[in-house]
Amino acid sequence: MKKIWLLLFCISLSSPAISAGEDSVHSALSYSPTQVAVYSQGLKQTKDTFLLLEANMASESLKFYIPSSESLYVDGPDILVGFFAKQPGRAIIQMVPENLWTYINKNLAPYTYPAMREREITLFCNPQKTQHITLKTSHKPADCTGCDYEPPYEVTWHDTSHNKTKKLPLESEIRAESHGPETYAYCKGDILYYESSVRSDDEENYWCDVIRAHHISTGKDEVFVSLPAEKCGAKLSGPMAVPGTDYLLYQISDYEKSNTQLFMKKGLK
Amino acid sequence: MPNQNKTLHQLRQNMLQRRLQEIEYLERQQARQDDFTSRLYGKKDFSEEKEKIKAELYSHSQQSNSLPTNEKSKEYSQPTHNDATNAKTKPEKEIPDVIQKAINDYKQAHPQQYQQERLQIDRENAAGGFFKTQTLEKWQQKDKEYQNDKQSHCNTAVGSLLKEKGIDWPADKEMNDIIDYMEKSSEWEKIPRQENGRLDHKAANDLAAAGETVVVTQKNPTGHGHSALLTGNNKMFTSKNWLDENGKEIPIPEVKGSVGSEKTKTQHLGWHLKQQVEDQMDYYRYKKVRF
Repeated sequence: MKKIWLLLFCISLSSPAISAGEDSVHSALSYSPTQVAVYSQGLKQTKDTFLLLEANMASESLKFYIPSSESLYVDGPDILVGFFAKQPGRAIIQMVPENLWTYINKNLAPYTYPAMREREITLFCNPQKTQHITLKTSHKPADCTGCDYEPPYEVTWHDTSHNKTKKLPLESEIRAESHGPETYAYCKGDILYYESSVRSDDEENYWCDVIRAHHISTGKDEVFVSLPAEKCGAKLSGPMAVPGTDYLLYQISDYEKSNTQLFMKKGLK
Repeated sequence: MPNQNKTLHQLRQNMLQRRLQEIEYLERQQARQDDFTSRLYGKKDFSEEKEKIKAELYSHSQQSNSLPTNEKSKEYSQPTHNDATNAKTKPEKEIPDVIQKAINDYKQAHPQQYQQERLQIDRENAAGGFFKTQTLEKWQQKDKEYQNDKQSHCNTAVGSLLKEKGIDWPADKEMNDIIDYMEKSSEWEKIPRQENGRLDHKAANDLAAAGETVVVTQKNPTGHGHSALLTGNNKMFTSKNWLDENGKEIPIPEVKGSVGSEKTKTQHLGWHLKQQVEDQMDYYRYKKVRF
C-alpha cells in the first residue's frame, strides 16, 4: 500500500499591524487560518494524475519557482514545497513561514511565463528551440458595439529547421490573459496544451474551464483536463511543465468552497 | 382697450420675459434629447407662444422706451431679434438672474423632471455625447448574450448589478469608455490613494461595508478595461497577486463581477486584477447628486 506522508498544519495569518487598525466593525479585517496538506508522493487520482497539494483557502494563483532544471518549488499558501522532478509527486517539504519572502527572493528564481510582445507570444516546443508556436491576438469584430471583446489568439506553428509554418485550427480559442489568474499555454513536441473553456451541461449553461491538447501534425484536438461538473464554477489554471519530466501541473481553485488543489498529470504522447 | 401696449405693466413685462427664458430653456432641453426621450416625454412646439410674447414685448418697446427697468434686467433682458447674436456668444457660466429665476421656477414647479433633466445634461457632459440608459432586463439580457458569445462582459455584469441598485451606467459602452465617463461624472468620486501612491483597499472596503456603492476599475491603455463591484463584506482577503513592499500579502476586498467570459461571481479582488496593473486602477464611490 502506498505510503502517503501527509502534512497538515495551521498557520494563523493574523497580523498585529493589521489588527491594530480594528477600531470598528467596518474596519475589521480577518483571515481564515490556512490548512495545507502536501502529499509527498502524490495522492493518486487516476492512473496518470496525482494530487500534490491541497489548501482550505482559495488561492487564485500559486507561485512557482524553478531553482534548477530538475526541481520545482511551489509557494502556497505560506509554505514552500519542493518537488523532485525525476520522481513525480515526490515532495520536499520546506517551511519558512516567518521569512518566506526573504528566503524566496534570496534563493529562488520565479518561473517565467512567455512574455507578450505587441500582442504576440512565442512558445518553444523543443529544447533546441527549432520548433515554436506564436500566439497573436486577433482583431475585434465590427459588430461588437459596447462589448469588451476579448480577442482569441491566432495560432501558428513554425519549424525553423525544416522551414515549415502551419496555422493551427484550434477547437476553441486560447484564453487571453489581460487580467485575472495566471493563464498558460504550453507546447511540448507535437502537442500544444492550452487553457480554454467549454459550455457546461447544467441549466445555467455557462462556460467551464478546460485544458485542451492540440496535436500539431494530425490536427486532433482533445480535452486534456476538465473540471468535474460540480466544480464548473471554479477556476482551472494551467498547464505548466514540471522540469525534467513528462508531467504537467494544473491548479483548481474554488472560491466558494475555499479550496485550492494542485495536480500533476502525465503529458500525452 | 385704451392704449394697452403703451401701459404694459412692469410685472407683465417681467412675467413675459421670464416665460420667454423658460421657453428657451425648455427648447434647449428638447434639442438635446434623442428620439426615444422625445417619444417618452413628447416634444412641444413653443414657437407660436414665443412669437406672441416677443410681439407683445417688441410692440411695447417700439411704442414706449421709457419703461422703468433696472440695470441688471436691462443687461440680461431677453434678447430681441437684434441682440440674439450677443446672447449666443455669452459665456455659459454667466447665468443671468432672470434666467436663473426661470430655472428656479421650473425647478419648483417640476422638481422631479428638473432633476432628471439636469442629471441627463451632467451625464452627457461627462460622457461626451448622448448618455443612453437601459432597463435592468436589457442589461441582464446583454450580459447573458455576451457571456454566451464568450465575450468579456465585465461592463454588462457590473452594469446589471448597479442597475439593481438603481444606478445607471452608460449603456453600449466599452469598459474603458465607461471609466472615462466616471472620471468626469458628478455621480462618481475617486477614492484617494494612500500617501505612498498605492490603492486604499481598506478605505474602499470600509465604504462598501458601510453600505455605499463602490466599484473598482482598471483603465487599460493596451486592451479592454475591467471593473467589479465591492460586495461590502467586512472580511477582507489576501492574495498572492497583491503584496506590500516586503512581499507580504495585503488585505484586499471581496468583489462581484465577471472575469473574461465567465459568469458573474463573488470572489476577492485578486481573482480579477493583479498588482501589476495597480497604476491603471481606481476605486470609485457612487454619490447621489441633487442639482
